[in-house]
Amino acid sequence: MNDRLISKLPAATTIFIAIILLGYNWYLTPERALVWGLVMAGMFAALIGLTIVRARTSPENATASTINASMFAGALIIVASLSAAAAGANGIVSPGIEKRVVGIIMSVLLIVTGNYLPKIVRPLDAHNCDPAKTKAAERFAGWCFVVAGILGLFAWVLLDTDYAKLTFAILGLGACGLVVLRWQGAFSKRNGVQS
Amino acid sequence: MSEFEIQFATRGGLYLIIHAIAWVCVIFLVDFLWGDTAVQYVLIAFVIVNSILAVWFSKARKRYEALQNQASSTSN
Repeated sequence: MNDRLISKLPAATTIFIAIILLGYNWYLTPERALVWGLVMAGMFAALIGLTIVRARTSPENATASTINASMFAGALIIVASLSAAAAGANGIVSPGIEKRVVGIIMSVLLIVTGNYLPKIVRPLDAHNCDPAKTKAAERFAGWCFVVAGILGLFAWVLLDTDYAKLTFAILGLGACGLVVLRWQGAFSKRNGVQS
Repeated sequence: MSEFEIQFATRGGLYLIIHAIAWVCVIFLVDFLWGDTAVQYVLIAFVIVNSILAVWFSKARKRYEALQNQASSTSN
């Protein structure tokens, strides 16, 4: 996806829809007011942040496009889970389905992130990094996330929600730990490479 | 691309992704171990930690760029 297309993603509208859905969920389950309030405060902060970024930079700016795309993706996940929660509270789908929806989205996100990581074009020789080591570390990270994402997806589709939560947490934290260890090894000063 | 962005792109970008994934996993783990009530406290921690990180990141960027400007003006 190029920068021009990313800059046109409707991030602000999606955040606004998320705020409306948060209000609706707050009305449906007032006993969880703390959670709804916190997420709503976060959504308002994101909306203000996005407005500031847009006011200060041009839409074609690479950093502004990345922020726009990240906020759109984040708001879309929240909109999907809140829609599922509202549908569950209204008896349209079975209650608690929102956790399964978030889990499936997060698994897909892990797979997409894993695929995308080694394709990011970066100044690989920046700060004396060894390009081969950088690329190898990114490929390893990509594989870890893709495998964890696929296994997590199976867990969320096939297992009971409680066990799926545990399986996904172990897979995700395990993948993150492996990537951090590999990344540290690739850029440690013992290798004579600065990060 | 500024020096800060180059340094961030080579290492910080991946840490940012790992950080986001790790938070989601921790929330699921806490939900499994102690239930919905405990998740509320993790969410509070999430908001506090990430607010501090956002402020720190902004300050670090300004400090780094000021140092870079100072270095380039000294060398000129």
